[in-house]
Amino acid sequence: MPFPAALALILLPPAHGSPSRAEEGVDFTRDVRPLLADRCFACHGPDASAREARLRLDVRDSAVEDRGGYRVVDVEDVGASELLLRVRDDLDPMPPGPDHAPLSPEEASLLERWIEEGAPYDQHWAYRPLERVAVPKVEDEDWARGDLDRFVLARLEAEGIAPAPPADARTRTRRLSFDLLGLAPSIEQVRAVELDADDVAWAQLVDELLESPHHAERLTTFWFDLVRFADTTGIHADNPWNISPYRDWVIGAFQENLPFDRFTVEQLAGDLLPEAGRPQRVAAAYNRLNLVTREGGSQPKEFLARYTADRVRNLSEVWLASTVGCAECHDHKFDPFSAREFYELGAFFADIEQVGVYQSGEGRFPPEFAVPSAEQEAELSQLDAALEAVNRSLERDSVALEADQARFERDAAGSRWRVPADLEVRAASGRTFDRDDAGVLTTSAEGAAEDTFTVSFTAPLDSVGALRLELLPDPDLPLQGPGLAGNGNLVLTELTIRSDGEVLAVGASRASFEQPGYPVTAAHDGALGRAGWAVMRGSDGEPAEAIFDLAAPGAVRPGSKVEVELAQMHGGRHLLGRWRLTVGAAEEEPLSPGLRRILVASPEKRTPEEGRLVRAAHRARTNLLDEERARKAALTARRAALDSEIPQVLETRAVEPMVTRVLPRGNWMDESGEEVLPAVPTVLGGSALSAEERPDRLDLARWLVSDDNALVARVLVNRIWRMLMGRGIVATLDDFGVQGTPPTHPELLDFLALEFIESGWDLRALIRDIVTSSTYQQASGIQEHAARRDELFGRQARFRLDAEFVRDGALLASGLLDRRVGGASVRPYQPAGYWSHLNFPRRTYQASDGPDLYRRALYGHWQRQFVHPSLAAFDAPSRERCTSERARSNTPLAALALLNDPIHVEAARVLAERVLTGAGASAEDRVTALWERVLQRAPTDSERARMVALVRKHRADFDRRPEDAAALVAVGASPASPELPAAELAAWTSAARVVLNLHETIVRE
Amino acid sequence: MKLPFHHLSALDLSRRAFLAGAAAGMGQAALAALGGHGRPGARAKRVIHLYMAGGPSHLETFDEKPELTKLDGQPMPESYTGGQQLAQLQGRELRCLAPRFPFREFGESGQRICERFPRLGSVIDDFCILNSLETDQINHDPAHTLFNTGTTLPGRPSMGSWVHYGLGSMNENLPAFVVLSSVGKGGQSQPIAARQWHSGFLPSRYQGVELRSVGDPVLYVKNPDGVGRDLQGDVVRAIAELNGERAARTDDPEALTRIAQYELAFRMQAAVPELVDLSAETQETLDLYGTEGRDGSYASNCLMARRLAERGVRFIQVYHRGWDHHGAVERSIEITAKEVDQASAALVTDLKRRGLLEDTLILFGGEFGRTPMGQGDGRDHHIRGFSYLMGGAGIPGGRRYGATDPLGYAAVEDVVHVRDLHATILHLLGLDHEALSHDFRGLDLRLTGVEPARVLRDVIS
Repeated sequence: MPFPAALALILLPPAHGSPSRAEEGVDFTRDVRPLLADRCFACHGPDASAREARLRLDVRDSAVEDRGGYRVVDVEDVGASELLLRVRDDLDPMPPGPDHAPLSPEEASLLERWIEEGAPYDQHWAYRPLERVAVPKVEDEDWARGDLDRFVLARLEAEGIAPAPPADARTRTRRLSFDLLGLAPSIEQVRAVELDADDVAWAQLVDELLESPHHAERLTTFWFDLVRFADTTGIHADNPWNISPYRDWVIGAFQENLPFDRFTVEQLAGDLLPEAGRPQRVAAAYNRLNLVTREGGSQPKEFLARYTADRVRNLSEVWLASTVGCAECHDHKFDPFSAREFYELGAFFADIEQVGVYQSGEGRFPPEFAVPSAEQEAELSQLDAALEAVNRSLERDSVALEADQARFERDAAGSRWRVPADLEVRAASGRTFDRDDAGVLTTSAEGAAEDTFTVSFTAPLDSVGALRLELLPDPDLPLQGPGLAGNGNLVLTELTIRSDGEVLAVGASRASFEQPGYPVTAAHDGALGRAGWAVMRGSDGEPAEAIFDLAAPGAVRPGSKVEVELAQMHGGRHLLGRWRLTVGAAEEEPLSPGLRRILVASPEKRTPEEGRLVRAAHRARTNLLDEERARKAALTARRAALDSEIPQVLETRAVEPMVTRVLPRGNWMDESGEEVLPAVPTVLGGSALSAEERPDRLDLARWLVSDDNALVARVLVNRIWRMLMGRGIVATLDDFGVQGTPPTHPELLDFLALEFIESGWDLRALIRDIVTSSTYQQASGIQEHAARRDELFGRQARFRLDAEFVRDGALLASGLLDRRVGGASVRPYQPAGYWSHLNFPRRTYQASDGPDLYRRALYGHWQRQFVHPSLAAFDAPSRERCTSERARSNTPLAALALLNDPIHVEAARVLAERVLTGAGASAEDRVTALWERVLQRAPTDSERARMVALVRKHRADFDRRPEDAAALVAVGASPASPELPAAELAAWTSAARVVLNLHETIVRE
Repeated sequence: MKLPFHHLSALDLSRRAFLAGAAAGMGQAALAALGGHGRPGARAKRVIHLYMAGGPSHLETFDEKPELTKLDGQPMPESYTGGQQLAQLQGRELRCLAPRFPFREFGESGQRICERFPRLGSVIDDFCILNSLETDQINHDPAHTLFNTGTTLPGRPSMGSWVHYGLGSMNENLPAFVVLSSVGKGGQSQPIAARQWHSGFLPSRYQGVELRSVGDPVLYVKNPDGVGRDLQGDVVRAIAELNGERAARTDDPEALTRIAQYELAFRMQAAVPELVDLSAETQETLDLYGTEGRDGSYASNCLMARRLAERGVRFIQVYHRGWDHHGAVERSIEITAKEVDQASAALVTDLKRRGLLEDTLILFGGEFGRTPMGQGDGRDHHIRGFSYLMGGAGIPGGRRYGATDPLGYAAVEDVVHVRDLHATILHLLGLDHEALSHDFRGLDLRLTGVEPARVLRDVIS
């Protein structure tokens, strides 16, 4: 059982200078509700299905109701309150059963005092409207730089604790730079703050950092944990998808300090804004960040239900810090959310175009759209204009072209395909074949489910350049064929051609029809297995044909023995049923089988469409148009290259909303639940939305950031406070419900939230207010009253940097960091085989090259199922769900990553190069330079001595082992400086590894 | 503060520091168990889960169904399947597919299992055969997540993490929860997500660590190129001394924990190569498992599991990704049986002769079973009835528990939900599944969740 935090406060001895809790009176929100919630609500709370005795203790009317002679809470006759009688009943106490802790005498008398005071209920603090309270008076006015400080100081003074002294300039500057940029400051920045003791230099530094694009990157990292941003789908095969433009949008939004209300609306409903431009549509990709599957056998309905639930959970966690997700299967046990309200929230997302199970084989998760840069857009329109001009020229009419086409048609009409005179066929399984005069073969049905047919013949005197395989329907075949499988299908898994025993490669191939996922190229990819060319389509008995060109047409000598092996190993009798194999000469510009059919038929019978096809085929070949075609090919190639460079992004596109039902116990197969329309939970002021039209995501988003929603501002302000102070005013960042921890400084929370809203949801102003306060600038290490100080913000927090910033820091110190902002995801070094558990398809990791290797971790490919191991070792989350608070673990795996990951070794070597080339020649000077670059301070004497000794020893060791020195300095893709002796560089690399691994280096104090 | 850090094997300082760090965050149960043994009254100190990933057919392993043979090719009676969720067979015509192999008696107990598993048959007297499992999830990824974490919601701890959290570690040089995996040649190798051994909302030190067969056995365990153990030791020692100096100046207990973790990391750098070096194993042992060395095969992973068990690793999962037999179940079972039969049995034999079987719980099975209905000549995913083997830890062997209906469709007798298996595993380790909980977002969450779960007392006693 969790220990109710409010109770912990009650049981503390009265602190110096403040009235005792007993004198102060009982506070329902602080003292009573958490107690009732913890012990009583499970059976007497919001969940209608679990409710016993028709009693709700979360609603006053029910608690004080006359229950036929007695009341559970009786304010007239306190002692007769059934509540008190039952919790004090030794024989049959409430709560019942062995699993539930009985109330202590203190807790029971707390309830008694509450009833004596009239059993006042008030609204749970989180849902109450924001109220401006008077800024408290403080004794030490000099300490307070603003009202924020007065709220903090008043509490400290009330408990007789003096605030911590200000941290020294270096600590403060490092803290600020880590907090705002995720990067260490330069030593020059530290010195500027050291020199200028007044607030001006500090304010200047704050503004400088807030405007840096690296600040936007830092906030983006914060936001991505919440919205579960990742480069992959998260379920089963964990395939990559297109999402990078959304990252650029988030960075851009923070960079231009987009007001947070606007930031919210554009992500939830940017596509629905009347003025929606491309940026808003990119922002709305937020709605596509839920985990999706491609796993075969998954039921679309089940996964559509999951996607909706995932979105509701994320929305309610990110913006409302509410565990509405608990209401997926049943009414919430503690908070006032019903299961119906869960599904009503889900109905807001019912308009998003999506499928339950995405198709394999295609790289995309439709719908998506292209997001070109301005330059790309300009080039696109230029290319399109040029293409239009060359197309016009290709379509021009002239007498010469007409005459040339007539000649082309005459030449092309003659069929080049024939059946070799001595053709024989056999099956590996011993199957037999019927053969008619035209060389058409009919395979016997009896025999193995997998088979290989071998066709052999003597090569005709004119050369063999291509093979044609025709598949023909037959009324005797299942579903009229052309295959032997029960569905009339077949799979040609591999076609192998031998001439006098030597295997000849197939170059190009084309087919008149390919079943999705079974292209004809799969029949000559050299891969054994079940994949191949198949021809299943909606209608029965459709013919098809494929042509296979030999890669080297001259390779078959006339008179040689040719064998064509047709492997059909798919199983289930996916075998050729009625078919014919013919051979033909090589062609320079092969005509498609369909076109050839048109050309063979008489020209009078052509439809206008066929006429157009013939004309186009001629124009694609005649040398009268060579020049235009070359120009068109160049333009088209460039257009295609550009298209592939232009990033795509998952699109949120609104369509007719699907029906949303309450799923009883979350069961997607149960359709008995009632249909619901979009609505927001009653407790949050759900009636605010107009009932005239079906509300949509835009209404939801606007309601979230409307003035009457106090919760969203409280939640966001609390998150930012935690980012900067190490702990939230509400410690449970993602639970503002009754089971969460109440705010330690409710007035301060509301003050900040109100200021935030009144500033126009100005996030940058909020951050500036906090980091320029005295509260923020306190020292962190004060031990006296340590625990109390942490709760009262009477000292700063000390914690290890987030995973990304550990990596970024090493790159920054070495100078390797690539500071470009935005763009597609990149791939840092990663141990080979780390993705071996992935399949469909199997993936081999290919690291980026050049500067992309040294970009901030924010840009690294985020594989939900296998987060980069070096980041995961430092608690980077999988981003499968909203993460408000990362763990801050301290493990041997993290030590191994920081010691041995090649990127950290490379960073150490490059850092060593900097020190060797940029600092003085003495070892002492170099150690100082190392310390200043990484820690922005001078080393102590003993630190310096320790490092000098290490370098001396390692210099000697590496001198003895030059091959080791060479190996160490060769780690990483960037070349080591050839001017530096390898042993010297290797020894200083050891020193740099030490400093990059120091606790102090990766901790913000 | 001068630190007694003359040589890295001097553990005093780091152990103290480790305890300081542990006290800051580790559960009481874990702290109490740091001495490194089982819980009082516990029957098992460790678990080895031979995880047959992909969904083995119970009908071709441990659940004999002669009635199904009689109905081969006939329509599956609708009384069995009406209104049920199917995977790839949804909406298709359903026909019975006879079991592909005969069953025969094995061991003194005469338990009947599929003849393709003769070696497992030879140790069947050490197992209780559970024939009545059921699960809620019909696709691989969610079914694995349920099997490992008790729910399909991401972000929940896996059972190995719960066990590590509840019992602490029994060794000082290796992780407490280790995962190995191999790929089979029969069927498709379904992917496995790292979520399956994640610690979820528990602190990340409880996460499972993968012992890989390719590259570094543990990620980043190898020194950088050109750096020998002596030089790496110099670096780690210098880090520790400078951290110690700083810790004394700043009063930061976390810095002391970091010293301890670096030292543990350095010890792991020695312990892991020793762990994976099979040169000390006799030829007889290698032959017993049917492996020639560390090659990533299931056989070599079983041998590694024994070595991990010997070295005090608490929870060992050995995945074999080769059981997704949608097509050609007959041929696929032949292949996969050859891959797992000998080594699984060898592990039991080897643990037994080393006296480790009595306090090691062994589980053998997958995330679900397969349909009695054919999918062509294969079988589809199936959640209403499947089988597991449970042995070691004093579980009376040569017995059978629960049953499916005559066609092997639904578990009908002594039905065992995955939750019940979880409760039983924890119970054998001396943990009460209702008490082993952790607060997350205002809820006391546990491995077995909110639905009732029972300890399988008839199986374990």
